[in-house]
Amino acid sequence: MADPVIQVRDLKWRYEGSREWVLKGIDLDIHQGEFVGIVGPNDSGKTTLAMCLNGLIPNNYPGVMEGRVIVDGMDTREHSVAEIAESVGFVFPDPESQFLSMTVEEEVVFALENRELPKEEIEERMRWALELTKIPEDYLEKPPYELSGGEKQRVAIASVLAMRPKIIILDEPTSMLDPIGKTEVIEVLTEMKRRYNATVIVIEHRLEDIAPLADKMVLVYHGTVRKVAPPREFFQGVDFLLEHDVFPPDVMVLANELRKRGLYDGPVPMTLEEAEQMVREIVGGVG
Amino acid sequence: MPTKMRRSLLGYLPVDSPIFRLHPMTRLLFLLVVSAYPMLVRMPELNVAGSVFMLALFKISKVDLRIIKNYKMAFVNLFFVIAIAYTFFGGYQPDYRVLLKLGPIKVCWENLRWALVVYIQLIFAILIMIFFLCTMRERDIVVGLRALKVPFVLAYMAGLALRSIGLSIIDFNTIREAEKARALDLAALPFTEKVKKFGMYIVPLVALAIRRSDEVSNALDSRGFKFTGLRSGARTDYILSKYEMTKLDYAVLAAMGAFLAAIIVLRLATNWLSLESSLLYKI
Amino acid sequence: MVEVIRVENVTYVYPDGTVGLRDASLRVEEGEFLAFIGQNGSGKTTLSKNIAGLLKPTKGDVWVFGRNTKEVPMSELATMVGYIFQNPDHQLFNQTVYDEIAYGPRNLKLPEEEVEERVREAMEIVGLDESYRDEHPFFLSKGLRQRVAIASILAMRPKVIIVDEPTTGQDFRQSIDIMDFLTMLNREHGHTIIIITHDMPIVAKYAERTVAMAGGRIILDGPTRWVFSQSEILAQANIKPPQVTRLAQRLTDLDFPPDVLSVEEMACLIEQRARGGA
Repeated sequence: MADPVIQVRDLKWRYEGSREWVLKGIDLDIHQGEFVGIVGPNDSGKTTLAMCLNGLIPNNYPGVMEGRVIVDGMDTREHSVAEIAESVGFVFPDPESQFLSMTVEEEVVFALENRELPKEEIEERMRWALELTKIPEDYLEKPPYELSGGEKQRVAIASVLAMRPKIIILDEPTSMLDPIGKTEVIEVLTEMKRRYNATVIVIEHRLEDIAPLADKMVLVYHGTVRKVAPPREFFQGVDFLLEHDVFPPDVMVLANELRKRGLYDGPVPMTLEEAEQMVREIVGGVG
Repeated sequence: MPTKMRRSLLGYLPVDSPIFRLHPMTRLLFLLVVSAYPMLVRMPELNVAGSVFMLALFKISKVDLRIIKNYKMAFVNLFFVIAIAYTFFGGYQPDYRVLLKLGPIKVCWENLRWALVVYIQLIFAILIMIFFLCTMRERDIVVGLRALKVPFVLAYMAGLALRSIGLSIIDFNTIREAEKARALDLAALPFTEKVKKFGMYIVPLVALAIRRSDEVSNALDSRGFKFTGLRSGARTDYILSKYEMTKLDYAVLAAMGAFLAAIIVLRLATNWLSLESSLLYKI
Repeated sequence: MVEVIRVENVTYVYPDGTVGLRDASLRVEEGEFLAFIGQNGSGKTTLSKNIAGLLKPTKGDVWVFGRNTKEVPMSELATMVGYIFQNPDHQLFNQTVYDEIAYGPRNLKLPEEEVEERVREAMEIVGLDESYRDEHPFFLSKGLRQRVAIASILAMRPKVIIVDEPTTGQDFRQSIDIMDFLTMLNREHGHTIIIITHDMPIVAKYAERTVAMAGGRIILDGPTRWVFSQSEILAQANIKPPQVTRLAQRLTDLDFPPDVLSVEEMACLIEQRARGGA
């Protein structure tokens, strides 16, 4: 088995001026091509962890770091964020402030111009990224204030995809979007999983849509990793999750409730369809 | 079917405006050259002619003149502000012709004349500024500066600064609403109170700007932006390559160059452009 | 019951020409707990800002406690209807948490002891520990800043409180905390609460009455249970009821009602049917 593309070893982090350690010793391995969901309550250190994975911590934030983070062979303490960006793309929660230029076209090619790639290649990558994120041609000249939150966030993802990174990290990509925007972004993630074999790490609160996509779920609670497992296994322990302030999707909580009442013993449903199936079996099984 | 519009810094411009046929660099240089005009030319008649020229340009470029109509009152008030300033601070020579006496204050022709000259220069400069803001987009500014071989960092910062202004205006309106909800309506207060409470608006504005700049710099780094200082590190100008200099551009540039040269010569060698030649001085 | 809000045929047009509200009418009685739902641009924010007096109707009238919002000065309206903005950073500007929360009461020219009392009360209600009194709001986390913003409005004790997106950006426990105390304000102190939100499970759990909007119009107005059962209308307005409700709606052929609001309810219904009950 190849080396994990991301290795986190006993990572501890404390922001400067704070007496509390936000990350209290994280060990984590992520392999190439995995789709990982990181969940946990607010202020548990999820965003801090994400920023450790692309070098923003420790490069842009003063503080104390212990342990190591190796991303695609690079130790984050010894490389700049720009260098790490050759392998890692990062999508931030706020669609507005990560829109760095004034039109969609400029935005998507921004990172590519930085890299001095030839013009033809830039054009080709731009078109590919826009197609994958379903952004139409006539949007190229549009400025950010003519785009909805969901559209802006898709442009952000396209801008990152155009870099063709090995690893893409998305920090709460839907938290500032309305339901339509959320759906759009989830569709893009689904498409990405199908067509672009990167390692994807998504930090999210709303699990209904991420659960079916993930290969592995990670629970971060008060600065440490409490559970790592594939989704079905992860969501089996609903009570455990609730104790750690993570609220699984309704259908999973329902399955757990039915188990407690002795009505159901099967695998946790991941989608509405599976849940429907489950109910039909339970109810249909009688009479 | 309404014409397709493109958004500029201050308003909208129809897609078929002739302005778009010019390369952004040409348009940027145009701004610089035309701005030199009111600085070099003092004669008010010529500056008025300049203002008329700008209005004609507005028309040709299909800029919506309603923008200017919005500022009508500001223009009128501006004259009074300048006239009052010159009346108070313009000094007094015994050979000044006094038009009016308001108590100890002498309203003199010479001071008013100065006010008028400056006012006309200002109007022209303002029209140029408005034209610029109505026909340029942030992207055009960055492209224009890049074409002039300004380092990318500076060009980009200029664009970002302009964009921040727009965002700050939106923020400002939201802040105003939010503060209204805290039992404070600034518009209803006397002026002195307004000033005291101004901090209510400024602090959130600055805080938001700081937070945003934090997020922006994180995003810049994450896209591989290398700050190599002012030296233009090699950077593919993909966007720049989408624009071409045409014959029209060169023609316009040539005309502007000739015009600028002519003005400079006239200014230095003759009196034609100066105040003394103006009709105002013959009254 | 006292009528606290009356929206009468209100149309609102923004300065740039966008129509925010089209002929909207609504009546709210004291002590109600409502949710406004709908896509961005549906008019829910416009409607609530008109209710709070932050916007004045282009056509029509809004009456708050029997008084027309066009005739009441904003400083007074703010003590009747409190509006809590989504982004706390748009409101916070004082150097300490205490000053921030005291700001509203001080503007109302209340004596300092009263101000102190209200700040203490507000901080307790939102769950802000006393130790935060002298902290500078800028350096607090987003969740805490939100609480400070809420406290600063609560300190003015408005009888009607409108909260824009109370749970966005909050995690599960924080969302429950905030919604629980809004419920407490409603049940124990008699405040009328209006929340604007996309979070359907929260609506299902806390709001007795739901107003659904689309295109500037009110398309549904009634008990939450009933609103969520109107699946065609909601679908047209791009509103998705909670997952458990949608699950029940897929099982109508098995006699599941279309208005299930919670997992517990669903579990009971399944149990009934599975054990051969009615």
